[in-house]
This record gives sequence, structure tokens and C-alpha cells, in this order.
Amino acid sequence: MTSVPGLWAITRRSLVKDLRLEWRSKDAINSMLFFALLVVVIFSFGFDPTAEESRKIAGGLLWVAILFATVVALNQTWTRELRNQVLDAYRLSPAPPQALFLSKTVGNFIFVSILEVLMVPLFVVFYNLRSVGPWWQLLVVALLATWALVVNGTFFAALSIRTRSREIMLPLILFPISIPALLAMVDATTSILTGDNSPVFWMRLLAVYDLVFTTVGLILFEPVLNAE
Amino acid sequence: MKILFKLLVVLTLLLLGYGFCQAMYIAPTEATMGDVQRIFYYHLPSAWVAFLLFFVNFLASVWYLVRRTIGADALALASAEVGVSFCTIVLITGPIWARPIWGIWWTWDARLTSTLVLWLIYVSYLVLRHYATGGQVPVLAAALGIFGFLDVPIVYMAIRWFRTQHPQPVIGGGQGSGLHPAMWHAVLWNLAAFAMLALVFVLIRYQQALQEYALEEAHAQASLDYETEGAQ
Amino acid sequence: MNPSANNAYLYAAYVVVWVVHCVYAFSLASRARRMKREAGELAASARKGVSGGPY
Repeated sequence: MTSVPGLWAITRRSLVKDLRLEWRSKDAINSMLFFALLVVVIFSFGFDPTAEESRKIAGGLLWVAILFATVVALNQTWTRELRNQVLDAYRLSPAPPQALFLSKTVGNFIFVSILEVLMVPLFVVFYNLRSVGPWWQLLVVALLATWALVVNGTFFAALSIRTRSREIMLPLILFPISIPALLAMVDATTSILTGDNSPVFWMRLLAVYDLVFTTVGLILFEPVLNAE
Repeated sequence: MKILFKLLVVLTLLLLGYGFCQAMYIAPTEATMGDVQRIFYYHLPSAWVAFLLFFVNFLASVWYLVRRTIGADALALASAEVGVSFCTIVLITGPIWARPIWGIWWTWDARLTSTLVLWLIYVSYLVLRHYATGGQVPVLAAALGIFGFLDVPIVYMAIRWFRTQHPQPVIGGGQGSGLHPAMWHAVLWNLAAFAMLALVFVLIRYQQALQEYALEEAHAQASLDYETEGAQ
Repeated sequence: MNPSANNAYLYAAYVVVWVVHCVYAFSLASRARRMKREAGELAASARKGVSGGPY
């Protein structure tokens, strides 16, 4: 097990490389932004609630929309790695696989956060949302929730890269595992928006979920990476 | 060995038969729900057996990642398949019981919903196993099996809290609440019977999984031989 | 609600249980048959040797 400074340095370097690549190509982020916008608009057509109702359902709609956008984004990032045979390079290098996993996860986290920064204001506008609870609580929920989606999403995107029907395999595997996190993020958001309940339990649950699956992901990533 | 297995099968069938008698005739009729309540004697043992099988899958997955023995992987596959089969039964008998008693097919109550999520997780495990290509499928599946099982307590906690905030009728009342001792007999006999049935299924499927590996290798070997011969 | 009228549900539930188990048992049996056949074919082609050509 490598020393912690070594792990962080490699993670940071890998992350910077990813972000730079992303910035130069801009293909993924542009199409993702447009996809996110489309999802918000289409959902808005489907549901046309009053202000009171909208507070109750916006949480669910928003997170489902983000979930779908995340899956599309996740497939993208790993496909690029595979295309450029970067995975093989990583396997041969002495760098710890945990660094790769962390950098990928943080990279995806940043990526999805950018999508959220676009989608949330749109939701607020289309649904005329006004939150009863404090906005900083929503921010905490968003951070915990995004990490929850992205940490397992990154891990399973790596898993499903070697399967037939890869694009459908990722959501099939990811969604069931994510159900408690989804329940937590939706209910926390709704609780804060409506002010009806306390979101504290849900936030704690998300934190536990993040902790458990980040740890398990870090531990299990090495055997997965080295698989074939 | 084969004799032992045949004995096991016979014992299983006997237990299943006796369990059926217990459930249908020997156990007393429930006061409020009537005879429909007897579904419980198949519903609850099936749930316990399913959970046990998923736990076995977890252990086998961990063992496989640590030791990489084919047997561990075969056991993981077998226990997941049989577990899903029993879990399916729980999910179907639950609503069939709920409908006449509470007038609804489904309620997002903690236990039934947790069971549904559990079912989804292990079906996704089986989907990965059947559709993933490559020689390292066992490793990937083992990782998924571990993730899935670790998720279970979190799922249960989440849904329990959800139900506390949005209360709805609970299927079956508290677990074992107010069960007459004669009813416990029916539960336990059927638990034994279904556990034996699960064991029989798992043993057969385990055997078959090992055989499948052997066959694959034999195929590969055969085509290799053909290649070498043909090259002459 | 008349309790004995619900017995249809009781029978339905038990039928479901046994149908599911039988379906699984049947899948085990058909896999066993398939593998036996494959093993037989493999053994036959091995005996025939390569001169028999691809089958």
C-alpha cells in the first residue's frame, strides 16, 4: 500500500489530465449539457403542477433527471479510456489503481456537478420553485447525493465496459444498488423544499452510503481493473 | 456420494410433504384472517431461505476474490440463482396474501419493499453473469455480489425511515407477533423443508456450474487440437 | 369479507410456489440434458480424430 501523499499526487495528476482532455475536446460536456437541458424541458412538459405540488415532486424529478444524465456521462468517460487503450497503460504502470479510481470519480463528480448547476436553475424557473428550508441544506444534500451516484457509477462503468450491450448494462447494475441513496436524496430534497419533515436522517444515510461504498470501491477496484 | 444425494432428495420431499400438511391442516385457522393466512407458512420461510442464500452468495463472492477458486464462483452463481427464485416467490405470495386481507395488492411497506430491492439487486447480478463476456466475469460478479449485499442493511434502514415518515399498512403485522405455538411449528417445519429444497437446488446448480467450466475448457482444447492438426 | 371465500387466494399462492420451483427444477434438468449431449459430442469428435473434419 503506497504512502498517502503518493496516492494524492497521482490522483491529482490523473484528474488534471482528464479535465484538460475534456476541456480540449469539449465534445462530451457540450452534448451532455444539451441532453440535460432536454431532459428538464421534457419533464416540465410531462408535469405541470401548481406551486404547492411542484415543491412536492420537484425533488424526485430533478434527481431522476440527474440520474439519467449521469449514466450517459459515465459511459462516455470510460469509453474514451478504452478507445485510447489507456486502461492497459494504467495496468502496466506502478501507480496504485486506487488513484485511478479516485481521479475518475472526482472527475465525474465535477462533470455531473456542472450539469447540476445548469439543470437546477432551469428546474427552479420552470417550476417556479421556492424552498421553505435553507439553501445550504440543499447544497449539502446535492454534494452527498452526487458523490453517491458518481462513486458507484464510476465503479460499475468500469465493470460494464467489458460486457455485451454495455450501454444498458450500466444502468441495470447501477440502479438497484443506488435505490437507498435515491430514496434519501429525493426525500431529503423534498423535505427541505416543503419544510414538512426533517432531512437530517436522510443526510446521515447519504453520508453513510458514501462512506461505505467509497471504501468498498477503493478496496475492490484493483481486482476489477486487473480483470482481463 | 450419489446415494447420499438421493437420500437428501427423498428427505426433502418428505419434509415438503409434511410441511404442506402442517401448513394446510395441522396449524390452527387464524381468528381474523381465516384460512388465507396459511400463505404465511410458505411466504415467511421462503423469505428467510432467500436471505440466507444471498448471504451465502456474499461469502462465496468474498472467498472468490480472496482465493480465486472455481468452486467459490460456482457456489456464488448457484446461491444467487436459487435465491432469486425463492425471492420471486416471496414477492408474489406477499401481494396474493395482502389483497384479500388488506384490499390492496401492494404497499411500499418496509419489508416488502426491501425484498423488492433485494430481488432487483440480485437479478442485476444474474444479468451481469449471463451477459458479460470474458474470462474475468467471476471477478466482476463477485464485486457486484459484495456491493449488493452490503447495500441490504442500508436499504432496510432507508425504507424503514421512509415508512415512519409516510405510514401505511404493514403486511403481516410484526414479525411473529402473537403467533400461536402450533403456528410456529408450521413455520419451522416449512423452513426446514424449504432450506433442504434450496440445498438440493444449490448442490445441483453448483455441480452444473463446475461442469460448464469443464465443458468450456474441453471445447477450447478441442478447437486447439483441431487447429494444430489442421496446420500439418 | 367471508373468510372461506378467500381460499382461492390461498390455493393460488400455493400453486405459484410450486410452479416457480418446478420451473427452476425444469431449467436444471434441461441444462443437464444439454451438457450431457455436448459432452457426448465432444467425446465423439475426439474419438473420430481430426480426419473426420469439422462436424
